[in-house]
Amino acid sequence: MATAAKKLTRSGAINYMHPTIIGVIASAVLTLLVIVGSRNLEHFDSALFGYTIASIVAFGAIAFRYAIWLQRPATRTYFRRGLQLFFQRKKFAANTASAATTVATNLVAQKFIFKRGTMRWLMHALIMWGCVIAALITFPLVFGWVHFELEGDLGYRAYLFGIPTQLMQGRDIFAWIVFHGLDFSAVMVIAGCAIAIHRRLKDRGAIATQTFLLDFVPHMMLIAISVSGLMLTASSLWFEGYMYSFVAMVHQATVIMTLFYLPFGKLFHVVQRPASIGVELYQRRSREMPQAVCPRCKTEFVGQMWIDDLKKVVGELGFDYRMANGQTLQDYCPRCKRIMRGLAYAGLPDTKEKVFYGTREEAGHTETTKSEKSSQQ
Amino acid sequence: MSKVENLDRILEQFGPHLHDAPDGGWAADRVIDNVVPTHCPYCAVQCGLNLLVEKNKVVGFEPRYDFPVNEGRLCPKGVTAYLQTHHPDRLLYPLIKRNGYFERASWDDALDLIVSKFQEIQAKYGKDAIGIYSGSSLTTEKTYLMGKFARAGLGTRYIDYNGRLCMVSAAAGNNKAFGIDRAANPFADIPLAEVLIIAGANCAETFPVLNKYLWEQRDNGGRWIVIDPRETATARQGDLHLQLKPGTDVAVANGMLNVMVRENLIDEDFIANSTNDWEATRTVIEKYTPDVASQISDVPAKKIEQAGLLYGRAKTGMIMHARGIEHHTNGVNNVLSYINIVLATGKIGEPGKGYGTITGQGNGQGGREHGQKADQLPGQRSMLNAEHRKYVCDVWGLPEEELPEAGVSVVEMFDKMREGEIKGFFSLCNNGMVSLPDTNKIRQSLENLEFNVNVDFFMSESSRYADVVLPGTTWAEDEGVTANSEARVIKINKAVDPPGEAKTDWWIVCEIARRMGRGKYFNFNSPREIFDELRVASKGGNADYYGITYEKIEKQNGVFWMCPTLDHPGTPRLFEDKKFYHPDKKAKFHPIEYKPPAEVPDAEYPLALTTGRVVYQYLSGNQTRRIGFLVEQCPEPYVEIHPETALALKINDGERVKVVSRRGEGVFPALIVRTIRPDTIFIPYHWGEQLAANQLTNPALDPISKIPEYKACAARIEKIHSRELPILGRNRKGASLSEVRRGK
Amino acid sequence: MQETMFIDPQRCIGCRSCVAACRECSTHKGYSMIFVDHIDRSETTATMPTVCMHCTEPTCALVCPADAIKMNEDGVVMSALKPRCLDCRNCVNACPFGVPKYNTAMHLQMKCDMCYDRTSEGLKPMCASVCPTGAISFGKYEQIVPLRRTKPVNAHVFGNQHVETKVYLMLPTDETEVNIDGCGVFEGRIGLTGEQQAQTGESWIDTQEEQSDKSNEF
Repeated sequence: MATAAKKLTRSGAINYMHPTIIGVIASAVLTLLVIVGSRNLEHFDSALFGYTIASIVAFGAIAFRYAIWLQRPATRTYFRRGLQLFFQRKKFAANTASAATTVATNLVAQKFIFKRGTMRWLMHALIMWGCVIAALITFPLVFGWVHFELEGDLGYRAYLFGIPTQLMQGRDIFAWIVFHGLDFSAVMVIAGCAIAIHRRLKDRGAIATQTFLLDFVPHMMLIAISVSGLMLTASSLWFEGYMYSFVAMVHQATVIMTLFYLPFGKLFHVVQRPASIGVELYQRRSREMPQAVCPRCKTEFVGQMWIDDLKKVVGELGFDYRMANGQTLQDYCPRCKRIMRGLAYAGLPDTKEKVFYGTREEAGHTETTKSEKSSQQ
Repeated sequence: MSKVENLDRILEQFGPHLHDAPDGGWAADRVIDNVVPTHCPYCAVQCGLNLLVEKNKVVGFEPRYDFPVNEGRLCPKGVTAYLQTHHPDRLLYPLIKRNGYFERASWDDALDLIVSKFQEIQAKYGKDAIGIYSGSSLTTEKTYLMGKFARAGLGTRYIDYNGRLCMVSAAAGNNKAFGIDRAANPFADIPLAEVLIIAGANCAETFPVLNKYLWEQRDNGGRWIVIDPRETATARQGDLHLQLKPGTDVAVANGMLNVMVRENLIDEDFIANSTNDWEATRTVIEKYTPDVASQISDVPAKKIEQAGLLYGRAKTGMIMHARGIEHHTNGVNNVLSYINIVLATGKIGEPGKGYGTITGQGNGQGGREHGQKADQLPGQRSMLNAEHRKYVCDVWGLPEEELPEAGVSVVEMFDKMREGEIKGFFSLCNNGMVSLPDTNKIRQSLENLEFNVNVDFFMSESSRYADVVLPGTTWAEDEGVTANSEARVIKINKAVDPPGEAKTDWWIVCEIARRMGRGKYFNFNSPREIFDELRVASKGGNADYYGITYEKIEKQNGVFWMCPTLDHPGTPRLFEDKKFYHPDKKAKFHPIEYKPPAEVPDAEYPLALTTGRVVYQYLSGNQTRRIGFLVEQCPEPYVEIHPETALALKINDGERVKVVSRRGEGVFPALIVRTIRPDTIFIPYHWGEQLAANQLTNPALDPISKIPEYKACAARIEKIHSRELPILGRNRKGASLSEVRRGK
Repeated sequence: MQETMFIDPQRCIGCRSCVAACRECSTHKGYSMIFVDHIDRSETTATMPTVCMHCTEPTCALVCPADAIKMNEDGVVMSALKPRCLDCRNCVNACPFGVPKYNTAMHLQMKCDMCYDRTSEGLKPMCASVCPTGAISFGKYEQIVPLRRTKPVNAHVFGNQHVETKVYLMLPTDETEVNIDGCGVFEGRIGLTGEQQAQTGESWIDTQEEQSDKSNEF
């Protein structure tokens, strides 16, 4: 198994001030929403206090991490350019359509994961939808945005932000599904994680590159949450609350750990992936714009805006790929970059060995000097 | 009457289709049941490789680092070789052609039909009315069996093998000069040679893993002299490239030797003690001064001089050659003129001093040793030698009078088919419709047959003409030995069972013999039993296998023949005692005068056409033209033209042009390259029918070896104003410069 | 890992054995991550093999907006992390060597990772295992270099930029770095007339390695 990655320099000094402020603001906003949404904590369930605090802290941490992420020159460029392109007035409808397409195919249907592998897609869909369902059920409860009140013998009424909704009969199927939503989501997550772990134990490619901390711990935490959650249900349904409070504590501990893990490890991709809306928009739009033509093979290979932005990013990172002929290396298409290297190799002076040559004579290369050569370029 | 009537249907049923992934797709989580060490099925380096087997399917390979010849290295054909075992085009059951369509048949029906037809033909026209055409990609056991099948099974004199298109010039030259036909040195001697002469061999493309040894030699400070009309990858990397006119090898070799004689760089002691006929040869050589040689070959005299001095002055040196000098009406002479250099300088029989021919097919060496050649009996014995005939008949238990006379070479055999002398045909392991010269004539021959049987594991261009096609096995489904280019006998191991109803080739041959009432000579149940008989049959011959066993091969990573006794370690290097295999133990010089090829360029056909191979395809392409990766790299033949020639003919790069010779014509995209001579064009030959380079080639034969002249004929190029792009060019989205120039 | 790769283009015979074998690697099963390009087929059979050079400061990793490309402790620059890669192709176009490949349908970048599944277990990478000539070799510096007459160099200059790599290029000269400045021209073309130049532009066969696109889609 691979161990921790080397830290790369050149990213520039990271500014922690702004991200900290953003993090604090994010936490404050969420706190405010909790207070307002629960009608001044009227509907707040104090038993869930730990969860609430953890959520608020984690939310701030995610915002902090996101802000730091945006400091990467490439990310910042994409972010700014994405917003700028999106809000171009004439293209707004098309851009909205583009964003909607990305959301539907990438974020919801996840077609790209399907292309990577069918099992992989199933695994990811189970885990993702399991987590989404669980989050949709739990967070509003934790924040006091939803609460239930007993009406009659078996009836319940849910209140959203204090506003009453549909009355539910405790014995009907809809209510049963709603009340056991968390159990279903737990089963989905466990199944998904099982597939993932199975793959990680069998696939030689995965075995070579995975790390315990990055690739196994998240799955184990999700399984721990799901199993302890199911145990709560089992305890209350069949064992008359046996060990209920202990299991509840374990459950709470695992959830809080996972929330705190979110900004750092593998799970950060959950908040990162929506950036593909911007990336796809950027790609779609740059395809309509003038294309960069590789100066060597004269072939269009990618949008000119794209190459210009990239050159700027490369420059911000402290690289200087400008060449004597006025071009920058990134102006050339990837294949030409490879060939240019081959040509440079072939053009090395033959001090020890002939390079790419036998002894062909008719081209008269033997008399050529370096200066003549460069005049041909 | 075996015409191809429904080609579309045949193509649909049997391909070639492209297949490019192991069975069940690419996966990194397979549970490998078995790792089978074996060898690549293609060229004669016979690289070791391990096949990965999952649930009786070959699903991948792993380099075999411990096999000394290649140490894990493979060429792209070797890397993708395993993909042919479970290819969807595999023939899975016997096929009988009825009303122009191939229909599935049972083994009993197919075999009974073959037997009754063969018996009918032989009763009507005589025993010799059946021809057998075999191949050198078979294991040695099978090549031995094919010779026996012809002589003891069918009793026909007409058997030959596709090594006739490959190795025979070298074999004849070796036999004439040394009295034995084998590469004299192991590959391991190459790095020890100061100078290598590589004549007519583009080993970079045709024998890639040999380059391991060539570059080791280079790392030791060695030099290469490459003799080739094209600047191939090998020639490019060489130190001295003699870019001769096709077919003028004798002049170049004599010219180099002339320089060595003049500078007294020859080994007089060796010549006096170990050779014959030097004086006559010397007289001829003296005529070929570098200037004379230069006039004939168009190689600058200075370079011939340099080459002669480089090789002559070196303490050690080796000469290697391949089809480039052998595929000529002067093929044997070309070989002998290079052997003259070896003998005159005495650079033979020691580490780093030697001589070798680069074999073509996987078992090109083993396949020419044990009696599938027209005039040969096992152990490199001769059909013309009464003693040899008696020995082999004794081993077989065959009455001597039943052993037929020597037959004729394969090209002559196809002539006899056209003339009606041969009526029935049994072919295995070859694809004449691609690899024989003048394919239009070959087609007539096949169509003229009364009954044609073919065994193969894919439907080849030639199989389409057969009345019965039997499904054989790939190399991964059978075991046996082969001898690689250095005469190292190695063992191919079985990895999986044959798919469907496919049967091993040796079972098919034995079964036909049995059903023809000759079962007592073919009582074999395994390759090992055949090998054991072969060992006895070869005993005492030049190619003595008696001391070789499967176990010994495994233990020693191959055994070099000759190996006369069980405790003999084998013979990696020949002539170490400077004794040769003629009765007086001396080698023989041959005075060789230059003769032009059978057809030289003239006003009507001004260009010399030469043919050859590309690294991505193997021989007739029946195996490799079905593998996606290889086809992607080289999907179709092309014609290499020098820019000067192209300019004169106003041909653009990538434009399809018509190449015409006296025998036929074909349309190929032009590849305009400065790496070929302006008076020469080159077409790779791996494709069949309209794409066949051999529609154009000249079936003129070398008088001794009967090898056809593939490497030199006269041709011209006609512009046809085609706008169709080459397949590779078509695949790119952006336009290439040539398209831009054409105003697309 | 003490071993690294040594690339010697003058030995390359253009057989693309490495390209075929690369597909056998478990980390990118079925997709080849190595390139063999004709440098100018009209003029020469010379080819240039390109594997990832594994820069000490990889441009590809630094231009990645998702921070998906990581270098491990062995100095091997890995393929993009699958959950993170957004298929933005910054790495594809920024890499000075033209190495990373991408696939839009999979939203994924992949690149040569020195066959990490093999090298982390002490096996040679596939390409270096099969290469017939030793144009791609894998081993310890002190094992490979004494056997060669060529000089190992891991400094590359692209215009004003010095790039240092884990992988060595074997030079047939005494230069200490490879200088790539301008698009270059094959020696044999120098001295050709304009007409001759036009006759042998970039050959159609040069394009065969990129079946799909000009920009490294796998």
